[in-house]
Amino acid sequence: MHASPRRPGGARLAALVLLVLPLAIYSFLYLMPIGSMVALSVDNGELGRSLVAFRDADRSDANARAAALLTDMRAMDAGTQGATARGLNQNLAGFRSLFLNTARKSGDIEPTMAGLVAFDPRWAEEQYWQVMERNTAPFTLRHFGQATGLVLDDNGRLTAGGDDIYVQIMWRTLVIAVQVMFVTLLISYPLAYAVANARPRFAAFVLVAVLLSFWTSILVRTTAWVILLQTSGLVNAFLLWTGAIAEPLQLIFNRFGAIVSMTHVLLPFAIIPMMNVMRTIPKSQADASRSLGAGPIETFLRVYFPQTIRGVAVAAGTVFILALGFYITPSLTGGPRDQMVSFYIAAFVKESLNWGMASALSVLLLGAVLVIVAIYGAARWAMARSGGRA
Amino acid sequence: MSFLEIRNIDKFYSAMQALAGVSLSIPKGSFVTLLGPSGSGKTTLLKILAGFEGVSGGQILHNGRDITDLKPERRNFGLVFQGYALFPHMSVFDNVAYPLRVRRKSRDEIAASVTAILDLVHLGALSRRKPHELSGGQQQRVALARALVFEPDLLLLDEPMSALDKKLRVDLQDQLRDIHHRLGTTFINVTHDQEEAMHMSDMIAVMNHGRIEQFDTAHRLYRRPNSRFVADFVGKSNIFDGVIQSRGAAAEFVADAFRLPLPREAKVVSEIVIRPEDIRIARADCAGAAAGDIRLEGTVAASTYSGDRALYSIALPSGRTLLTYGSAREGALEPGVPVAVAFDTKDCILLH
Amino acid sequence: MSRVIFWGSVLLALAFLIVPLVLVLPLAFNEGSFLTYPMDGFSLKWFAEIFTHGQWTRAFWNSLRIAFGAMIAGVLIGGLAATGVMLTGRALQIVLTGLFVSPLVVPSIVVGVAFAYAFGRMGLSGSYWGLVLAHAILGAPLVFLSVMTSLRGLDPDLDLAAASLGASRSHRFWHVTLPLAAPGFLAGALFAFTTSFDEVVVALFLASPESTTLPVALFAGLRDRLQPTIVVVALLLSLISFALLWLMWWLQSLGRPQKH
Ligand SMILES: Nc1ncnc2c1ncn2[C@@H]1O[C@H](COP(=O)(O)OP(=O)(O)OP(=O)(O)O)[C@@H](O)[C@H]1O
Ligand SMILES: [Mg+2]
Repeated sequence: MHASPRRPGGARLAALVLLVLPLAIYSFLYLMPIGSMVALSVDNGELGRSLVAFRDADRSDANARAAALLTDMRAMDAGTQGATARGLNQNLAGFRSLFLNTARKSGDIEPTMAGLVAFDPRWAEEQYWQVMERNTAPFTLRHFGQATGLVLDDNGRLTAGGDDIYVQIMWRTLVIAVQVMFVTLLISYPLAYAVANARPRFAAFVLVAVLLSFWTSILVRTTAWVILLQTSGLVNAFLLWTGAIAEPLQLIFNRFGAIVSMTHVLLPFAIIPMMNVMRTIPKSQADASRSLGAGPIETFLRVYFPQTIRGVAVAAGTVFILALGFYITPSLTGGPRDQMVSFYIAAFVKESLNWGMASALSVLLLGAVLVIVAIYGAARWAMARSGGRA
Repeated sequence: MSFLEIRNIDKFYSAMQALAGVSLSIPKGSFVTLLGPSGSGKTTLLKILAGFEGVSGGQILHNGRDITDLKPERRNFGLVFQGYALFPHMSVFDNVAYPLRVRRKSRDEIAASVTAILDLVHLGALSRRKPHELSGGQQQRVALARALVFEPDLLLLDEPMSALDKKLRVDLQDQLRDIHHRLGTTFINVTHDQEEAMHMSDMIAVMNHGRIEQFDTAHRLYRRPNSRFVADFVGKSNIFDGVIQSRGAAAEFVADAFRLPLPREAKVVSEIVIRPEDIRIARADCAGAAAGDIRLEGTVAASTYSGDRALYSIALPSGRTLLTYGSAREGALEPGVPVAVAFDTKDCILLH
Repeated sequence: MSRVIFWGSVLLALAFLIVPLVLVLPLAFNEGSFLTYPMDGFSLKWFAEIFTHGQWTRAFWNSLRIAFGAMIAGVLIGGLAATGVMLTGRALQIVLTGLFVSPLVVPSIVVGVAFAYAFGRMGLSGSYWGLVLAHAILGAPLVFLSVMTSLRGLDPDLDLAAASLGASRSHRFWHVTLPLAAPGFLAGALFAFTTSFDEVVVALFLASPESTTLPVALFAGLRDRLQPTIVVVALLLSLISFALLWLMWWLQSLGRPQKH
């Protein structure tokens, strides 16, 4: 069942039989959920389904539009009215009350533009009508617009005029991930080096420490940092005791706490790939360099380090991807200004029930991860093609 | 004061003694080979010379200067590794230029030296390649060029040919001899191939169990081994144990198959060695062909035909066997054929 | 100089790696309720509190049941996928491997949102089966990888040898290939179990108060208030992880003589 040349035709049937169940489960329980999340990010929700008459009404005829709106309002139940109003309000603050008030009285209002304006003068303002017009399609880029700070202007062009809070958050996520990546690489390199090059007993000890850490749950390791770094925690107690500080330092719920704990959690993911590459470098290479006249530091810089870059790159990619989508650790050890995209995704789902925004941010995060994976895949493919080992 | 003086080196790996009282004097410009079975301590000695291992006792003097604790990079000794240890991320040129870059030589100087040395090892055309794009023999020559380009005082080679096939090995042995001749650098080569050792070396140090058994020219090692181990390890040999019996003023060495009159000065002979090529052989039915001081009868037990001649193993009536070469122009003798063998007293090597 | 750099950096990094757990976990035995040294005395009272407190024990049993279910489902999915993929052609193998491994690179928060939404619509949210299936998807790639590794590492000559002795294809598969790949299945099973047992994010989105798992309870506890009971739970979780790691090591040392 190994080498392809001697695989009889029966193997294809066997493969099919074996693969049916996993493929079915992956499709229904993995691909479909992710697909529906992607769909959700562009779904217009109730807005896309409730303003049907309005969508079909003649745009140039103000009275027809007003009548269609009122027809739609009358057709909605209270829940749909609320959902629609919420959707509109996400686009334009203040729309909720206007829409709900009008909808409640929709039976009594004269179905003309004048009737609506008489009920509430705000209906005379063109912006409300524009918002409705833009948001009656079943699909919307509104969530992505909000996430990226890009808005469609009156001429239908993308401009960076919107609120850029999520752009800032994504930028911050990127910055934290890069910071964590660098600190992690810096700390894991010597450990990986020790596993690959130290005397056997010490190397084995370091390896066991790394594996134990790797198998200890992320949450447990985060817990340890929360306890160590809190104001009355061990680190502060120690520093106070030595007299290095007079007042406890704020070590947690800020960038420092977030980076320290994330680094600790991600260390094994960096050490293992580096270690695997370092183990393939024979010790005789360093000996050769020494005998050719290079000192230990020059030997490391010219001969050893260049050969480990491949491992460092894999470690960097792994840590970066994990840090980018990290939720548990930063949410427990970071401050309000150190929260990453994942925190806001969770908040949208658990607190504000804004599934559209949660999905849109998730799609952006997933996209970023896939781009990085693709870059690595391409690099590996190119390397394999050129046949280079270094 | 010789060029390199190795004095009484001991080396322990925890309780294991890898070298025991090794002493050697290596003359400048010579080609010395360390020869010995696996585990005899050759690599250990080489590593100590290169500076990768410390010693447990003893000293190394280079031109009278104690270098025992000098760092490898300060010794200015070239080293060719068993697996070559080329740097995989550098081209052939960069590999060879490495020791010069480390020595902060100028760009022009580097280019000139590297080109010259690559021409010397016939690799001028391959300088842009990476090591993994080269054959084993080419890699070996790159390693050699890299270890020679900075004009080391001493070149150490750890079994440089062991990964190559026989034909290539002989070619490279000739090239190596030639390079040694041209550069005049002192070479210390490690091998457990005695043919290679004999072919290339001025002097051979035979090692066994961490000791130097004998340090001599190839010819003296072969003709005048000073221990049973050397006699056995270097070349093929017939070794006879025996006892000495006095006969008035003279003495006789009595082995199970024959008696040998001894010269007067030889008092404590324990074994004698006879090289197979010193034994003549003839079919028993034309016994006159095998003449000598000592003649024995036997039958062919086995034969190995190698074209130019045949190696016979002859069973003697005493039960032991004797190795000898014979002409094989008419094909090798069949096993079972009765033969006569003979050799001369002067060809017997006495071991003390 | 170079030695100073080596030992300095290695010892600092090693301290950073192990000191936090070594310092914090013993606090589970602290008599007092402050999480700092010196300890007020040795006591098991926080352990007692955990075991008498219904919330923690329920979460523990939930975790255990879910992890078992997820392990079985994960081994089934990942194992079938790996054996199936081994039988396909090269191009398809690459595509399918990418698919089966992909849950590893998708950030867990994204998986969490997707599952929360889709499972909610299927009515699986908050249920035992919802969590088992979600965790099975997260564990299956690990099973897939370890089974693939052990199937790839098998000596093709063994299969040939069996064939030359007249064993039929299916007989060979069941009696030669699968038993030899058993270490891969076992390692995969352990991976799947731990993955589920330690998983927080997806469980946070899917679990209802009744089906809360131990990590989710610990997470909530951490956000709420730092109590010694939290350290006790952390200690117990680590002990379980270490036991699993030891089991893995033991299984590997069993498998080794077969390989050579
Ligand atoms: N780092 C080490 N630790 C412990 N023992 C060692 C070490 N290096 C070598 N030895 C032991 O020292 C002895 C001599 O080894 P050495 O490598 O010098 O042999 P060698 O003559 O080079 O053999 P070979 O021809 O197989 O290369 C051997 O018994 C070996 O097992
Ligand atoms: Mg050796």
